[in-house]
Amino acid sequence: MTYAADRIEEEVAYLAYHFHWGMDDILDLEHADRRAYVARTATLVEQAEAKATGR
Amino acid sequence: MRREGPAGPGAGTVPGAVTGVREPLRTEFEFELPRGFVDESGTVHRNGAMRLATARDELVPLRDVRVRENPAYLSVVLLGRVITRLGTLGSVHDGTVENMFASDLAFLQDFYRQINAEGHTRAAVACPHCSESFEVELAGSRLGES
Repeated sequence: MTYAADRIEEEVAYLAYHFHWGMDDILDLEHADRRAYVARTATLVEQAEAKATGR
Repeated sequence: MRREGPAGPGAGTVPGAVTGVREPLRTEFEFELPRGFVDESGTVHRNGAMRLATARDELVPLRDVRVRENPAYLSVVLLGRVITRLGTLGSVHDGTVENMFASDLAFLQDFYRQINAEGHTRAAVACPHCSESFEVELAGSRLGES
């Protein structure tokens, strides 16, 4: 019934790496909110990469 | 469904809240237990609320020694964290969940999965006789709603 722990660690690390949020703040996000921020971050990262490579 | 918190729509004051203390956004779903929790005095508690789970709720039980010894206990610890109220009980914890009827525990496990995976309390089911698909409300019927 639970969310996989390794997937949680991956998402927490992803948000911490890109936004420098504190671990407590990320751990206390509801699952849907955390996933939404991960998706938004991924979009930002892709846009930045596209811009850097001139595509 | 209710969402509580300073930045959320419909945010209200929480009893006992101290001004200036940061409160996390919380979404709660109300439920009605199929059988009900019977406390020490024999009172039956059926109506309660569960908040959506966080990463912390999933990780903390994994460090609980009871869960390490018996992985099946994980859902008891997890449900004890996310059930915010039940009937007129002063508090709900893993000891409360531990003493629930098996059918209520199964209901709460399904309810937890439904709100955290689907974001609502409706489940898609199929009629065993005619195979027609339809939705059922898991939270329990309310007056004036069908």
